[in-house]
Amino acid sequence: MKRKAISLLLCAAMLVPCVSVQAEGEKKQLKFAVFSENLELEFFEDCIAEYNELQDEVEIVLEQMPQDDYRGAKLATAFASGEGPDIFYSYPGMFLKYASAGTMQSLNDYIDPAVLDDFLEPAIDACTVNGEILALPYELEQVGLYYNKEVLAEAGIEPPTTWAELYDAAAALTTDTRYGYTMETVKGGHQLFEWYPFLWMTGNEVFKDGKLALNEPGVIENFELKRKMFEEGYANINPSRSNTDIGMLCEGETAMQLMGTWGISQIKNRYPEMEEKIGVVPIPVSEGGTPTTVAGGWKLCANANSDYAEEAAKFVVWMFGSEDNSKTARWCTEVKFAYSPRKSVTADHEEFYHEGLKGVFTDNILGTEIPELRLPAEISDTLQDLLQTVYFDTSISVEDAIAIAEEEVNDFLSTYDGAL
Amino acid sequence: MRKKRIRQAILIALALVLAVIIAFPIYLLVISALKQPEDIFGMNIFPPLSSLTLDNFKTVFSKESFGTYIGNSFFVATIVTVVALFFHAMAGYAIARLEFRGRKLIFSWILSTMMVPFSVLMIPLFIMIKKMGLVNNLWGVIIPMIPHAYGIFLFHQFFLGIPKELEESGYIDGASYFGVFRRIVLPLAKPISVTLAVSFFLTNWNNYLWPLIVAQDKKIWLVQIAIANFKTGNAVDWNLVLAASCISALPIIILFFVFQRYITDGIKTSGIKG
Repeated sequence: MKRKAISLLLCAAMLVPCVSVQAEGEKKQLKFAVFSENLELEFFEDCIAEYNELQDEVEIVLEQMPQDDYRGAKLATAFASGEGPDIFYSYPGMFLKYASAGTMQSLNDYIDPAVLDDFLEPAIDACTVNGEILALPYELEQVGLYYNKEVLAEAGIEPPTTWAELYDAAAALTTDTRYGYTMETVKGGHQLFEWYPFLWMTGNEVFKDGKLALNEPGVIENFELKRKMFEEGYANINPSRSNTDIGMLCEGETAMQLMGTWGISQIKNRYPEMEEKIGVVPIPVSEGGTPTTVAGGWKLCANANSDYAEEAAKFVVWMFGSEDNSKTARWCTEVKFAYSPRKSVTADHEEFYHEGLKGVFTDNILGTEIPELRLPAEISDTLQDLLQTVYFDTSISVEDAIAIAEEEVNDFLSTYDGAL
Repeated sequence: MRKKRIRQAILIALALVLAVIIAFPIYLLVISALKQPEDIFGMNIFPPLSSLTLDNFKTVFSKESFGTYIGNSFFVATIVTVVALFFHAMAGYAIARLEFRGRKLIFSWILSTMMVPFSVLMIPLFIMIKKMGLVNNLWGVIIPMIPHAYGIFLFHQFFLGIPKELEESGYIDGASYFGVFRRIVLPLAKPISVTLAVSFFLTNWNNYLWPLIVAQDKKIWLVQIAIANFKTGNAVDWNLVLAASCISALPIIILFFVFQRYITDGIKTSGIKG
């Protein structure tokens, strides 16, 4: 009897989840993959509800996944097996991978040319391959140097403006319990993102005449400076978390931290007591260099291989490429603090962009940005390895490390005919 | 006599040191989960009791449907364990005892599947599951996890060690193949079954990648996916990650203490740990 009951219970349990969770209905159902939570998730949910209300034949549904897997296995597997989302977002690090695979639907036919003029040109260029706009940018995130005002004032140090001052300040501010300066130490796209401005401000580029060209005095000087700071213990070689988290500055682990615009929202939401105590300045510049920062950010795309590619493209354009700029505005000013790739949003919210630390970004950093490079994964990986070597492996000279990377990348480029 | 005592004392001291080394990360996990978010990265390993809080645990449970994710994980891990044990035991027995053509070939073929890494199988497996209409369904998580050479192999090795005479006595009394298997062989296989059950349960409880790939709707997330999702945007809610990790480690720790004897027995007999 008891045995029978157990088997019955097991059978019943097996039947429960057989009821598929996929929704019913006649409408064309489009999947929109997101990794957002909290305010960001709320934003997308609201937009989708509004859009679904307007549509008779289309229904957008959210598919949520953790951020790391969005960049990694989950999305890649879904696309490879034809089960990819109809709408998804990409960032420069994954853009070319999907663009080259033909996964991104061209938006040229759906976007009004008058609206296109509202976008900053470099932001649209970063989403364009062979004249086809493959994604719409909706945020621009830039990098600055955040610092603890009290700590610097106590040491009688002004926020650094040059590399030499950065080194001296980091040395003076380092104590037994605190590092002077913190930047990304983990190999990956974010470390590369943080490095670009240091390259560009010396007047150099990643490629010259179609080849990797990093054997330049400015580049070498920067690599050597950082290697020295790590070696002498002035730069945080053992950060408690990723350098996308302002917590290390706010909790006293470091006196200065290289950090994106998103740091401002993090301070506001997580460390409100530190709002008055944190300052921000442009990234220190090389001797005779030009102040430069990098502009990254996510872009919305439609899946070209979807059965509903056209509907997906229309949704993307409705979100961030229609005459009504309110979605971009809400994202950049309410959901988080980011610059808008649309000029009208920045103009409409002048006051917002000048409040507190945002004003420093708006007045002193905005306008010096260069869009983050979209590199093929192979080149990106070699450059990430190069940064690890020049920062941490003192057994090899900076020049030799660059030579190895150049050889690898140029070998790859000799057989590569995709977009750059 | 004295020498023996000294030796014993040294051994105990050594065991203590090892125990501390092993228990320390667990202590760190629990104590950090009880800290305020801003204290987590502080170096204070022994914080005052008054500074500890259960808020992180409360937040984890108040966040959406953490209970559902735990339920899903339980469901998947239990079904896989029960079904896999049953089939693996039968397969292991058939290969160990029944005489049929191609037996050795089938066994080596099953064993060879252990050498194929999951990353190679991932995409074809997903396509199969998609064609079966099981994407976004817990059965899509469960079914591919059931066939596994590891269990069949261990059962096979175990059954080889059972004296044939025991089974023969069953046949003499008129039992069928299945009768002998059910009444004589299975009860003898209790230690290996418990070892494997714990190992299957652990593997599936901790499984991340495959459930993540199959699940599209949050309703069918497993607990490990929910934990990973506490990492959002540019900052990680470490307090929630730690508290959720504590909760998800609990069933495993309980399982270990309850079946500790069998697990060590299993490792001793098979030389393999799950």
